[in-house]
Amino acid sequence: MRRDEINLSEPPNNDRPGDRWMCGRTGEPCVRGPIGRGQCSSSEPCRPRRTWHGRRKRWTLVGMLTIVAAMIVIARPATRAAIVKPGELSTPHAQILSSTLDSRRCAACHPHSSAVGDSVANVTQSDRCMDCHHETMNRSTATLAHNLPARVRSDLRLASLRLAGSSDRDTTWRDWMPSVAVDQENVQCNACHREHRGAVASLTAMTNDQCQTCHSDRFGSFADSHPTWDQWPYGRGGVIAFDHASHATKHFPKTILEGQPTSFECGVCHARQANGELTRTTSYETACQTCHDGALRIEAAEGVELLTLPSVAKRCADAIGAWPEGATGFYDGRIAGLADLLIRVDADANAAMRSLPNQDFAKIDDQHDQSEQAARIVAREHRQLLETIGNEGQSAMVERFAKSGISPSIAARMIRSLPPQLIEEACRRWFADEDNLAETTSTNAPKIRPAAFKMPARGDDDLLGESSDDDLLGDPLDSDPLDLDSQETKSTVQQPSRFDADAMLPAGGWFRDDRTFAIRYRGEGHDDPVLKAAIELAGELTPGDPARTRLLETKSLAACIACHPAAIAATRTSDERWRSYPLVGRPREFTKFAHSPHLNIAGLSDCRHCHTIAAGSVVSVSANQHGHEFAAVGIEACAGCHQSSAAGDACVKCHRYHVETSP
Amino acid sequence: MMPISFRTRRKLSLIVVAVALSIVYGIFRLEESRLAHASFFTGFTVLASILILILLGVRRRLPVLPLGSVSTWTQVHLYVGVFAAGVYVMHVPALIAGGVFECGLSIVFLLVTCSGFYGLYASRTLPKRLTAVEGQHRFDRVVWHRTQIAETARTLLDDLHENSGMRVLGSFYTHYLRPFFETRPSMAYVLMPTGVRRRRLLSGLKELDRYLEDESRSTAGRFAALVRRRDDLDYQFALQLRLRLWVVVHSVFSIALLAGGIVHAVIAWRHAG
Amino acid sequence: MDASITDADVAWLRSREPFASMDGKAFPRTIPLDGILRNDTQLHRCEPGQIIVREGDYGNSAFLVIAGSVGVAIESLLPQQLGRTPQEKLSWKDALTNYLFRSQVPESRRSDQVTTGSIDAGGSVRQVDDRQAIFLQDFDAVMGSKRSVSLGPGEMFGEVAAMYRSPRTATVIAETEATLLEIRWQGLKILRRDQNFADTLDAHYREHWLSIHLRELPLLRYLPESSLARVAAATAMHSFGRMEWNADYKKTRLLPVQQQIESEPIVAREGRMPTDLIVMRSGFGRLSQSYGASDRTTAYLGKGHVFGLEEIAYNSLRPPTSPPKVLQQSLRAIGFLDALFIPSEIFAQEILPHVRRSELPESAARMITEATEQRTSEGSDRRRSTRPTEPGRSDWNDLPSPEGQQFQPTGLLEFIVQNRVNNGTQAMVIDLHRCTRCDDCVKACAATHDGNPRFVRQGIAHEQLQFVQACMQCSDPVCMIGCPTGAITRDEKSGVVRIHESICVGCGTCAASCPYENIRMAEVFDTKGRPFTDVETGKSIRKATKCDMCQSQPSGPACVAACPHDALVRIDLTESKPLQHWLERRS
Repeated sequence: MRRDEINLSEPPNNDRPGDRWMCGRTGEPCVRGPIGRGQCSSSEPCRPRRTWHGRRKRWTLVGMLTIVAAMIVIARPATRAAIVKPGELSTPHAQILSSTLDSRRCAACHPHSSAVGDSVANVTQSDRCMDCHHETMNRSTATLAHNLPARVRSDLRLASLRLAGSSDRDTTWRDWMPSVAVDQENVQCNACHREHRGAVASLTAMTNDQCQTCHSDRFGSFADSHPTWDQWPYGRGGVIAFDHASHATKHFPKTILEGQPTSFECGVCHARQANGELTRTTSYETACQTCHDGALRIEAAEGVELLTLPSVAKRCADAIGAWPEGATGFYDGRIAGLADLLIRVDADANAAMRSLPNQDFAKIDDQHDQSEQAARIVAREHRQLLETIGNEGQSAMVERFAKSGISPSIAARMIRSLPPQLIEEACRRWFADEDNLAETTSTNAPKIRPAAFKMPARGDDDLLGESSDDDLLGDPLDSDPLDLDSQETKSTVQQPSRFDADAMLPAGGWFRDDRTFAIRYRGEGHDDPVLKAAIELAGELTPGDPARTRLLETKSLAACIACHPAAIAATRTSDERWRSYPLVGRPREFTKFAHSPHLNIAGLSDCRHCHTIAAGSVVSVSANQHGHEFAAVGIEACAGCHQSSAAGDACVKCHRYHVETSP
Repeated sequence: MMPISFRTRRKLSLIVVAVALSIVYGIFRLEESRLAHASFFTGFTVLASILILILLGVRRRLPVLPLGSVSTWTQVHLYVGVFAAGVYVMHVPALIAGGVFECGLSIVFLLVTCSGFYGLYASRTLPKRLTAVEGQHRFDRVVWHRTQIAETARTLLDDLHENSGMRVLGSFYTHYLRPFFETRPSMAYVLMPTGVRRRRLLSGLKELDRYLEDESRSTAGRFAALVRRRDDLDYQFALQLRLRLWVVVHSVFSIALLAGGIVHAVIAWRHAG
Repeated sequence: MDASITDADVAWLRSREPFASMDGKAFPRTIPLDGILRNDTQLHRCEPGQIIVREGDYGNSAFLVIAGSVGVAIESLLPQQLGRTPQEKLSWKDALTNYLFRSQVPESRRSDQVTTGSIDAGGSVRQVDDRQAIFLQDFDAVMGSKRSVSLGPGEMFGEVAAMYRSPRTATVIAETEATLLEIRWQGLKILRRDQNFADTLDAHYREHWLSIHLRELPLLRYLPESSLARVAAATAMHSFGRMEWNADYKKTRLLPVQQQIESEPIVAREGRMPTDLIVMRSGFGRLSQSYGASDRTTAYLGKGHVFGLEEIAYNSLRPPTSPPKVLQQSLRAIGFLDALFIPSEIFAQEILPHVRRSELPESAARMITEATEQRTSEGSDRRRSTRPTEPGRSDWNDLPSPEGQQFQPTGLLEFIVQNRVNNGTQAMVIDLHRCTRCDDCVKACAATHDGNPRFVRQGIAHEQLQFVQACMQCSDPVCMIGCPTGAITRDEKSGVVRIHESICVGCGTCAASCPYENIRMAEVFDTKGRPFTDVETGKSIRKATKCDMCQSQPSGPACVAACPHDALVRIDLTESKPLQHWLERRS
């Protein structure tokens, strides 16, 4: 059974593996072989067989045809979008496009996607993005780096350099790297946001490298190389001045309730909301009222004065004309802030008022003619003002306030509850001759004087209180002059005694003080509308305005401002002056912070872990600069957890790219 | 100059590929971190690599021109292929991309790559197995050999004189040997050549021995020799077919890949911004 | 041989010189002089202008002018004058055009490629008596312009080429109608038993050729003229084996190695004292060492190699105290071997002083260094950087390596020698461990030859090496012997053997001579697939086809260039170094 036993002949050796056909003969093949397309040319034709080369050619042909067919399928417009799509869109985008026709789908985002000729010139993909995203982003600044104009960016950069204390940065090897592929003035959306990465892929996930593309002064880890900060997170414009330090260390421990010192709980004021975030403040009623209401009411009762007749010398009073006896004698009385505003509308009076030192009659040198002249003019202007208001009512006041630069809305709130009748009555009482009230001049002044003497006698505080009640209850326009007349007669008859505002006006309101010849307002307590308006009014004045100074010196207003330092800031809206507004919803800033994830960590649930009260801190209160009594939260506080291996130290953890500029 | 040994050449080439890949990776990372679209860079690198890879086919079809030896081209092809596969991994977000066309394209790429790597493996291992088997049959002559063996077997049987052994042998031939000699090897055998068939037939022939007298026993021995020859031939056929088939798969799909790659590049370019 | 020599012819020849003066008794009884004349000679009638031998041809016969005169061209004739078409390299464009518009018909030829001898070219083929002969067309003009020597009756030419298997040195043309006696190599050898005849031939050889041959040896190239003359005088010439080895090659290659080695004539035996430096002039020698009960082949030698140099150099340089070296290896003639023997004393006196130390074997060179106490650094550097004198010497580790390397050098060497592939200077070797059998080599061959492959991817294999049946451009081109028209030629520079198809008459001599069957006779067709036929005989015309190493192609050998896996190589097997390097590279 040896193989050698069989001897097979060698195959023909006229191989032509490069030909497509070969002789199909099984024995000795013909010399010539098949020609062309496999025809045997010999006299006894064989059936030529394909060589491997021939078979391969055929298969290749089939393969090519398949490829061509596949290409045709791809090129068909109907199926192109579905086939060409390189990956699933993120779900929101996919949902938006689901209603779009297949053939238009690509072009929704890709302006050059359609076949040649149909593409829209000069439209970039970012423009397409902004077609939808203009709601959250300004189209004009959308492609600027950080959505900020170059000037702002350069300011920020310089500021940060100043903060770092060096004017030039280190040269590193990275400076030799090729420059950034994006132009900072023209950053396309797709530079960072890459689509077609699957339905659940995050479009906003960014790497540190992407940030550091432009921020080429590299940071290593957050813990090691992030620049430090000093004030954060404080000093960002809180509007309520609350001295955490004294409350925590002094007031609360001193307050003994049920035999126990009250504990100072952060959570009482800064409660966790449903979304996990903390409230920035709580209401007055919840937090402050218990302790501060009484004192606040007393301070508010001081109120604010609209006008007080100054006391003038007899000679001067005579020159004025009708002038109350009680305000005659020696020069005294300071011009009220509000009166200043109303008087300064008259140029002569204003000049005279300014010539009085410190607008204080007490400082008038009565030997000095000119001073006396000014005093006379100012005093007369007081009377005239009262008469004007008495005649023309609130509109005259609003008009005068407006001329002094006070917005009518604030003026209106200020004087809403001030009835002109009160003024008219005051005129009548203080300046005796009421018939000549309308045309008081220097010539008929003597005629008026006796009336001034009459006035206190006729003064009826009770009635005045009534009328001020009326004012508070109803529209002053409703009151009938006849009715007023009858009231006045009634009052003259009834009450000769002095009006005690504390007793008569516990809910607050405008009243006439016949003793001091003043028109005053008595505040009610927290959230008094007139006091608020007065502060806002003061805020409208330029700092340094004497009227402003005098207004703010008013005890009641000073009490408000002690806790509402932002109230006198003219730039804010009325609500922003008084209420602490949440940081959420404000224009997007470079940094962001959420308490909620932090509070879930056991060690951090105590606020004092991060927010410690600085020892010996003093609350400095001013309208715009908010001092605080906390020690700054240093980088160490964050870096403990925020490391790449733990809570993460990616730039975008704390920083935003898209920054909004305040409008 | 003494040409460098294959081993050194392999080492050098791998080092060059590694260096090239790391350079590309560096540029890729740099571009990525510069907010540029690095996929354009990697994509065009892959496309250029594919063009270089395709050039091997062009060179093979132009044997008359002194364009450097095909083996040099094959070496370049091989390592550019490894390089292209590496760059491809950088280029794609996932090995098999999403989307119908891209998915198809990546499958084609992987198919070509895999067939290439298989081809490398096959062309380095199968020749040794082929050499180990007796007879260096040329592929196109396999059919010729097959018919010759079948005919020889037929004549062997015809030459047997009439005796009892002949009937035994004849029936064995009809039942087992003829189907073996006269038909092509089965698909299963071609895919995975085994010695089962050969052993079964040979042991069958051996079993017959005791029913045979001397003359037919020697014929049975010849049949056994023919069975071995035929099995060797089929083995050669199977392995050579494998060596040839992967080239066809590789080349046809590489053309598909080139066409698809160009289409993909055009699409990507137009949809860039 | 053939019947053209009759007894009358023999008798007539015996009456003429030089046979008349030969002593019949000098010849053994079994092969008498008459027998030699009858069997090993042939009478030819030549017409004027007939080309008898061409420069560069190989031949195994000498010619004796009986009548008339022949001219020996001193200057070389142009190939065109011999009917040959000179080879020019195709441009890229032409090569590409030829490739792209290659014929769909196998072996198709244009008619001018088939007709024997075009008119405007110098040569043409005509029938003279019973054989085809090639003529110089404008004979007078050529002979007038070229210097030539006339040979008259009794003069002999071509004996050197016949005896020593070297190319013919000059073209010989019949000047008048001439009668020539062609004496085969075998006859010539026996005729040398006649002392006179032998002396005449030897004297002629020594006078004209020996010093030239000696001078060609690298070892002797710095020898002064006087020394060379003395060396030449002392040099002996011997031939071993059968010159027509190719005739029984097919039988001998199947012999077991042991038997083959024993059958080879021994030239020098291992263990003997070296007496002569043996210089291979032609043929092949096997170096072997006895190993156990048999011999183990260690290397093979080819033309120009020397044997015994190390031993002789050592012996002549050794200090008197140390014993002389005996031969380390045996030298045997493989088929045929022709060698010059330079006595060792002469070598020591005349040659050794003029040999560069770097060309000596290591042991002898060391000896010189010690003796002369020369600077060692420079000397050793130079010695290491130059190649050894015996390129055939193998330094392969011929024991199976511990890594289980399949390839065993001894086995391979013996295989190469056994199958005489060491004859090939451009042998096609395929590494079967890398060859994927893709046939790209054959396809490339076809692509460069108008669609016709010039080889088949088959051939003897040893271990992983296959020696493919493609013409290996043998160093001993037996195919070139006997071509009637000189259509098969060898390029002097490249050594490539080429067939000029236009003067190939399709006789098949070369194909039959080639022991490796690397020449195929192909029937030729016109471009439409109709066979060309001879008008007179009606037979289809055949042409000898073989590998031409893509001489006309700009690409060089297309098979090598086309191999995608570095599996195929055209390699010089006459030395073992190239193959060794090639194998080492892929180990």
